[in-house]
Amino acid sequence: MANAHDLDAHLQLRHDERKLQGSLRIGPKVPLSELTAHAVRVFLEARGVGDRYIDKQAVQTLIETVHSAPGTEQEAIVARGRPPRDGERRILEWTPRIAERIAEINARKELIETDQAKPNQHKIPGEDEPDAVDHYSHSAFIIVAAGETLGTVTPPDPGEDGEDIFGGCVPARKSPMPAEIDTDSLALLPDHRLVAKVAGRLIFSGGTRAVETTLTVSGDVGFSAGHIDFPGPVHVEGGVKDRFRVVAHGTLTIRKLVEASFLQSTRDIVLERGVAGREVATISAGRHVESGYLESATITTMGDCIVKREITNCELRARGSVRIPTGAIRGGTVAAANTIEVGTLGSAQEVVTEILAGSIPELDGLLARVNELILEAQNKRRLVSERNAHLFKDEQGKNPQLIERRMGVEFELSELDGHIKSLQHAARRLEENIRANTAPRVVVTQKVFPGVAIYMRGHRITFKSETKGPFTLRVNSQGRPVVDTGAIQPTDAGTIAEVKPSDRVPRLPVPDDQTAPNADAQQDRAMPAA
Amino acid sequence: MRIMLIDDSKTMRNIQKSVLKQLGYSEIEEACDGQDALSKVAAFQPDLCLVDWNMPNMDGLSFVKAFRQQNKTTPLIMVTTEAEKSRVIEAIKAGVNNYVVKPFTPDLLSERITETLAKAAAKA
Repeated sequence: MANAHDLDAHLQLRHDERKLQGSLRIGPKVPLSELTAHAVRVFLEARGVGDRYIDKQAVQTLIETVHSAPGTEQEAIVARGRPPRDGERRILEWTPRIAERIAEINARKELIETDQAKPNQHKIPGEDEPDAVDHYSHSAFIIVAAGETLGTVTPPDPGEDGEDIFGGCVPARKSPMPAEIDTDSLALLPDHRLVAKVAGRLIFSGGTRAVETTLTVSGDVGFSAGHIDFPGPVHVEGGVKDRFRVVAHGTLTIRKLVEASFLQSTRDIVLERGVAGREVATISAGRHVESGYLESATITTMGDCIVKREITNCELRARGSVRIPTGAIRGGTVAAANTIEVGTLGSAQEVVTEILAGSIPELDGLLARVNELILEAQNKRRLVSERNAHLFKDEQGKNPQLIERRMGVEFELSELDGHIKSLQHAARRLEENIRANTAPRVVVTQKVFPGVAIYMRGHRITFKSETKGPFTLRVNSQGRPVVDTGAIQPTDAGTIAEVKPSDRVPRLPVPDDQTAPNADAQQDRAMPAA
Repeated sequence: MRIMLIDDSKTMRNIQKSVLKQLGYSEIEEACDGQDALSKVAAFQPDLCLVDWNMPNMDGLSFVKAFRQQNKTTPLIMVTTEAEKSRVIEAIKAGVNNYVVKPFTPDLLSERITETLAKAAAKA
């Protein structure tokens, strides 16, 4: 029997980089009589290859090949380690709604990019191109509700380490870092559902999954963003383009120009630059509106409206005050329940400018209608009474038909009385409501041009010539308009403008406890009867 | 409480209805004469009827007589311009429980209705 070392000189073990496979090369001059499976195993084990990794069948096949082709060099894989199983990433499968929205947004993004190369492609469906894509209504954001299930998460697989042919560890590759889930806004439930904890915008790309409760639009609200209807505050870094709509259930801030668009907020609207509304823009705020300027827009605010420079040709209704102390109101109609403070009213061109002070248009309209109904009912009562006066002059009183007609007329009159009483009660309640929620006052710090009309509780005050400020117009305790110019006593508004009766802002009856003569009342005596 | 108003004058029915509504009664049926009333009583099953005397087709007295043949208990109030004592007696004999002479005030009608219903309840 030959020495094992004689055989070793003809055998060579080679392995791959990770040592997961070992191949045996047998030289052409190997002594065939010594080449047995056992001898090969001894050779491999002597080089550290674990018995369990040796492929006995492969060894046997290799030996047979060498024997069948003596004098040739042969090589085969004779040992195999256990390869590692690499870790798997966590998989998030969106719900159909979210998946659909993501697909829509991606498709829309492509369309927008294509369209932007071709100007005038943004048609509105139904106008002139029924098949056109409506980029206005396709929002670029996924808005989710609090408690909404967004998807299902398959947990990550950490993998399993392998072993090389020498018994060494071949580490498994770790699972890739999954996208982070923001636990403040999202919850991963034990049943693997991903649920939104808050309402807002779903962030679904990049390294984080989250719901943002404030929507920040980095550019304009235009074709790239689409209409916005967000359940929280919205901050727009750019402007709002023509025909786009932004609805925010929180404060809405827009840094650049608002064009002929629609803005609505349940809280404040802050327009850092301003509005060029082209008589189309509509702005509605649950609280205050602040703006650099307002031009050709309709604005309704349940609080104050504060403007830095100018309100031009606007329909503005403020449930609180309108303040533009160093700026101007030119053209349009500005109505406020409380103070209107302005630098300049009107323009040198005498543009028609209407100021409604102490006005809550909805209640004013309602009061005017109720007063009309009272008048109608009173007229009807007078007519019924006059037309049937002869029935009550009849002295016979025995005629059954006459008796029934009298009763009918009396009933009708009593019904009308009840109706009038109810209407008068409603009018009183409305008047009380208006009185409690309004404080008509117009503060002019610089001047008023001709063409300006100020309406105040039953009066129209028209300026016929340029009138310099500062002065304050208000209604005194007797319900008459007076001017405070800094003098001790207020003066009659008729001293600076023409005062005529008008129901544009309805007159309110003077409460009984304020009818006693006082300083205001004495001043009022010079005023023309309204 | 279901109340039937039988009068050919819609105005009179409206007056009576207004009084009844003030008293809190809202289940009200109207008939324009005795015949119309007889055709409705079976379905409506009134708890009280206010009946005018002078009506076309079938007058109030004829209605009272016909009604009493089938119903002895439901109270009937005659509301009429017929103020003579003999007429009142005639009506009571026919079966009316109370009598209101036109013109009446809402207070008077209301008083008679309450009084009649109280008596009927006591009998029951």
